[in-house]
Amino acid sequence: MPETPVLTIAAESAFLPVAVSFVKKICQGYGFSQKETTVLVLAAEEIFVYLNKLNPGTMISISCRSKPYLMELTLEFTAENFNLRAFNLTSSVDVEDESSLEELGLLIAGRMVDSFSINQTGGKIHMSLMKYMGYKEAAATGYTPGPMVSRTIDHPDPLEIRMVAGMIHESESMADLPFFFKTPLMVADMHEAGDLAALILKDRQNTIAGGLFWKSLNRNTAEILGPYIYGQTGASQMGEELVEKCLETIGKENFTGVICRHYGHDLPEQYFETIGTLSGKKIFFRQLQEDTGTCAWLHPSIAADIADRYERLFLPRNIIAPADDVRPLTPYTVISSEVNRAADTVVMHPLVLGQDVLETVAAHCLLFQSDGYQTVLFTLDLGNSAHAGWIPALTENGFTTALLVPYGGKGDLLTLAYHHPNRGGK
Amino acid sequence: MNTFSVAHLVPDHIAAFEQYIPSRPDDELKKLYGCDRIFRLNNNENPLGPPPEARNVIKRFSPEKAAIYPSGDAFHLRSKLSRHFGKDPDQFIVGNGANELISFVIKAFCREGDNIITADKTFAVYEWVAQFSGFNARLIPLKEFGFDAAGMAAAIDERTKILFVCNPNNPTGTYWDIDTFREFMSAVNGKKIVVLDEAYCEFVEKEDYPDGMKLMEEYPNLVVFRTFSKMYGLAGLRIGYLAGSVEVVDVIRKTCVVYSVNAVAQDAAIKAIDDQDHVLKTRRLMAEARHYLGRELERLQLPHVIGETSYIMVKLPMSDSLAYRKLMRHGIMIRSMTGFRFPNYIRVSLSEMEMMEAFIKALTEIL
Repeated sequence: MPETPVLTIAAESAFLPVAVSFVKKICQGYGFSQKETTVLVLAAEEIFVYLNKLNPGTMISISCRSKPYLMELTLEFTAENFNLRAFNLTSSVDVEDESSLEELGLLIAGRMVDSFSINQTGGKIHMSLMKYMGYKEAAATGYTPGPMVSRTIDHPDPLEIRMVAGMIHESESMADLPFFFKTPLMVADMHEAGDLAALILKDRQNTIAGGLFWKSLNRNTAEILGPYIYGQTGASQMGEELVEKCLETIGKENFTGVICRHYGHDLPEQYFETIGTLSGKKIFFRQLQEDTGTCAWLHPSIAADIADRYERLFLPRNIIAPADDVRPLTPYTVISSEVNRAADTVVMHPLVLGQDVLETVAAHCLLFQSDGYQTVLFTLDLGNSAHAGWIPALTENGFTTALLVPYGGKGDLLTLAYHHPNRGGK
Repeated sequence: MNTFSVAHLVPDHIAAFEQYIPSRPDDELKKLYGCDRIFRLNNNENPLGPPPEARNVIKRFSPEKAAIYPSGDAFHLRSKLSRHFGKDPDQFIVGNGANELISFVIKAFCREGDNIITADKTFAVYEWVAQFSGFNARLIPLKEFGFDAAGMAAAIDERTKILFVCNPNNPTGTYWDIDTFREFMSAVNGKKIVVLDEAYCEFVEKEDYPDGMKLMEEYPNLVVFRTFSKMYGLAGLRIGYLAGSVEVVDVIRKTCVVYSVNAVAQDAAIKAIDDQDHVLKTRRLMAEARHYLGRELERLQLPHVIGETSYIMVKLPMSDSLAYRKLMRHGIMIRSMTGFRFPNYIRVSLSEMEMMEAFIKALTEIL
């Protein structure tokens, strides 16, 4: 694989055309369309300009990485006062306020891309902005498999992936599927990129009756999508065979666990344990390794509740309470939000804990509520001591514990669900 | 301060490699799982411990000797092994457990682009060492829980250097009989190194079980691994050995790390190897535990695989990692088998009846 091209340059006005040209040429070189190229070029430009105003001359490294279905723009720089607040979905610009106007570019950059992540360590900022390739809506295949004879489980080729993804797209509700199932071609591109693994059920006549997918969610956790099986009697046995084969494979990989949020009727539940419920649907999980124990940073307000969950899940954990007199040093809170319109769901992730955390969380909830989202979630990494500081603001805003994914982050990943006070929860 | 990023220095085959996380010490596990004792049924250790004379050696080991390097090539132990098996001392290499020996053999024969062949569901260290050394490990699916001789032979190509056969297999306990072994060796036709890992051979009482130590006289490409960790109860001292033709062993010796086996381990092994009474006592204990567990697992209607070794495999109607946690709450430590590519299976070491009964009681409660 070729090395990712990197441009390291001073954030000076004179070099802005160089940075812009670099991103543009790389995107074009990788065959991205003009629309997606423009988005990433503008995002890079806005961040460069902001950084130039904030810390003229500071060095910025820009790199672009391409996959068949996305382009990722990465920016790394050191800036003590870089205001990430603009990346909040609730941010707006006050036209009367000059400093607010300066952040307009950042706000635009954050809204244009499909997803972003920010890591801040001291003054060093690592920003990753992703734009997915545009895909056309898939035409219906109308394919319904007949009964299989002498079935096998196989690794699919690109056409078979598209066929299975098409069957799933046509048979399941998009609310129950990850967004990329909207277009089978994107599923196939993710598979080609090595970001989505798959097994399919087929027979000697090349009848394809379904399959199962899995992907990495993070360093520790994989996600199984499926199994989905169509037109067969004895599908539950086939589902078991698919899951076994998948577990045999990922059991040897680096993951400590596998979660199953999207599945059909034929999921063999005996291979999993239930770790909670989201939107009325059971969430299944399975550890892939023996649990050697870890610690969980928990604010006392929810420690008893989580300890009770640990007990029910037989998870060995040392619960540690953070110091209660630590106030956030930064004035502004930053939250990244993952929006899935088809599933009516928003998942928020903590980026920067600021002094306005209570108000910022409230503003986000209000925004999502007014936009009609049915499920509003917030995730915290219990292995990250800094995340414990978010808990009072979340509980005060009406969040309660929904899901606990063992080792879903650095430590266990806690998902809290928002319950609107006037709606009586959901 | 300069920031240092290690990522660009790491080869791809290491970056992709899964590190092995050993279980925590008992005192830590007891605290974490809230149990007041732990029955370790996860590592196939001998509940009788080392044979009596080996115990005496360990007890009498003089602290002054701790300051002195051990024999770098286990001179006296190799002499003892040569007398015990009627071979030349130069036909033996002693290592810090069989894991180290696997590494010696792979380093001795493989170079970039080469491959090794073994089964998909067996002792994982053959595969691990090959992969983190940058070699391809071809994994042939088991057939009826046993190594597939024809499948392995068919996978051989010109870049194949070593075939690893775990006999009896860990974790299934199945073994190749002498006829299967001979057929396989004929198919290999003296062109590749065949490693026969006999870590559990002393537990097997079947007459058709092939004895690698004798067969190597017929097959100069055969290398046999044995260990003092299982039958001889010296797992904590880490000592094992390999044997083969002088020509092959001379090549492997070039890759050996000398002084890797400590002095007390060498002395204890010398005393352990002759103790046939210990072997018989252990076999009796295993037979009793095997019989008891077989009967109880039938009663619980749990599919299981009972082989010729010191462990059994059980299929559970639940995730094996969940069963691990639940059993730990009862102070029972088993091996979950997803990492061996057997999801929902657990492997249980055969042990004294008190532990076997405690295991069945806990298992009944968690089901």
